[in-house]
Amino acid sequence: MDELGVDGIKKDDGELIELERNLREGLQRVAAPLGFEARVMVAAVGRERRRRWARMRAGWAVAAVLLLAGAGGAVEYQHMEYERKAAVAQEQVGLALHIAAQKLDLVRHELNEKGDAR
Amino acid sequence: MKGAQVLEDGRWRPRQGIFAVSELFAFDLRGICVLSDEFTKDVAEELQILRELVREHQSMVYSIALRICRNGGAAEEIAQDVFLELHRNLRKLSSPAHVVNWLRRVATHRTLDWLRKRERDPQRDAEEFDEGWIRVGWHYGVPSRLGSQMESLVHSLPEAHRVVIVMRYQEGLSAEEIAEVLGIPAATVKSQLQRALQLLRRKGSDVLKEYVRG
Repeated sequence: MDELGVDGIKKDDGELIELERNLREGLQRVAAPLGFEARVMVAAVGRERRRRWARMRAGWAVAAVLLLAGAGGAVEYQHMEYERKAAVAQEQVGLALHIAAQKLDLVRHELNEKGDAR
Repeated sequence: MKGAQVLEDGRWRPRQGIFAVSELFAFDLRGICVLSDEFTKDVAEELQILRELVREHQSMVYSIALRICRNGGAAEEIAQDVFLELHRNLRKLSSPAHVVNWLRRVATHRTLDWLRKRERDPQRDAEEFDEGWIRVGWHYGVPSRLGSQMESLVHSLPEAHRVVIVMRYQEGLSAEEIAEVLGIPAATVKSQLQRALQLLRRKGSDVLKEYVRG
């Protein structure tokens, strides 16, 4: 094509210029259907509401997880504390038994010595 | 906000003469406004911006979708989806020109996606295509003879040619601007425009001669 315009269209082609003018005139924008704006806004608000609920649910879920983790931690701590005290008590009982056994051995030894002396 | 006033705590309340139909919405003669107390000020402001943008650009987005997909119901659905997508991306758009460009691009691509999806659908009904043209006539009120003839001519073009013609003559974009909207080289747009005009010229010469005579 020779003598092309900016968009590659012949500048001196009367028929084409007429066609372009008709296209501009004939292809004007069409009005959107009645109530279109309201429908878009209802959908957008509905989406915002769902997002808000989703955020709230996520918040509740996080709070529930933290609560469960806290409760679990407390139970675990109590259990560990109980086991620690049990271990200390067991150790003390063992020590007491050990001392008692030593004393009994001492008494038995003294008794044996007295018996031998007779 | 025209239909409502902002209170100190950021909530909306209807102005006098505005008819609140629920806690969420009110209507006046100009349309709808959001009054919800449940949203923060940021969200309510975004909804208000969206409302203004829908009001300003609904005709552009709907017309692009309608002329490319040739189906009134689908065009409305596509246009609604485009505006909901705009709402999601509102913070990324920096200027009114950016918004218009974004709307043209997304409307065109969503409509082309719809056409491709429809082509893959074995249950599609050829009669569906006519619905949009009936609706175009209805929305024009009484469509001009030239408008109807141009619609019919553009209707007969292949998809790619239809898109560039709509962008060029409905939206008044240059080849470079169309290239930016469609994400294709400007040279491709120019050749598609030339080819589309040749086709229109061939198909429409009789129709247009008749129009000129009439």
